[in-house]
Amino acid sequence: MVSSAGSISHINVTPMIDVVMCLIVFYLIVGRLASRQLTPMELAPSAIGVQEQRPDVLVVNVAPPLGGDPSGAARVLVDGREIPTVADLEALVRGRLLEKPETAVQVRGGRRLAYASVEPVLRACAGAGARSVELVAERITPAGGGER
Amino acid sequence: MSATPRFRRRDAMAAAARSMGRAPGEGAFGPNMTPMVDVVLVILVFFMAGTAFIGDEWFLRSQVAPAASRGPATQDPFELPPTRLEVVLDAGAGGTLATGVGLELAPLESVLAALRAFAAGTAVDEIEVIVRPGPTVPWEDVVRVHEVSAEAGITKIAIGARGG
Repeated sequence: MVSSAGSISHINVTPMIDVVMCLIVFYLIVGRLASRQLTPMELAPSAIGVQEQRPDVLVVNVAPPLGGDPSGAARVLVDGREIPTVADLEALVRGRLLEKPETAVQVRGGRRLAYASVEPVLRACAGAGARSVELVAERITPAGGGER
Repeated sequence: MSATPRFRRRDAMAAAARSMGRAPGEGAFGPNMTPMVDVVLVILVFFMAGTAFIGDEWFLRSQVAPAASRGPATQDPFELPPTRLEVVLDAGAGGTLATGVGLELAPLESVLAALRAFAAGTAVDEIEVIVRPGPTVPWEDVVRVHEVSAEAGITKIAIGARGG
């Protein structure tokens, strides 16, 4: 609206919208960073898999020992916190499933880990009542496969 | 030299300014691009960040089967039980060896090829694959069996314990 004197009489909200949008994006990114559940590791590759965003996911990371020591025990981490024993993990998974039964349990295992390192995690998940687990793999270019 | 007056941007701007009630050279001409550029930049940053966070990961569904999970799968005596394929994995000197689908202690890829061929000639809904890895088998080979099974259209895949 332009007044008779030729000046604009309403408030210009464009800068405010710009700033608000920047703040939204900033907090979105910070929030995602804060809730990051993934431990950096080399995953097994797969040309097929499912990729979907779900609200309730429990990611169990089975990471190689620190320093790459082959004789060391694999580390089990949930939400960035190391779980010392299998019994603790089972209790954690059971608690999460009781709280939210639709929670999907994802197992992220280092590709070069021996199965003996991952098996206790799978047993703990099964013992906690998880009917199935999802094995997280690194997405590679499908050679005729795709999302399934 | 041509005597025809050339159209010049400065003339056009001056004409537009006059039509808007301004003297030539006074004020801005044309749409204000600043808000649009702001919004486009924010959207660009949003999608860049979103793509980075989604990551190049996906997952394969698996069930955790009990040890020696043989048994009747149905109560109906006339209904055929599902075809259950067991793939037993053992660590060998030159890589993982697999037993299953008619092969014994064969290279993993040979057994996976046999698995693919078997699935191609059977109703995949009726096939269950149970992977039974040895303790020293690399995890990536366990995932590889899942990958090939999923590629073959098999949805019932489980990891089972050895023995018992």
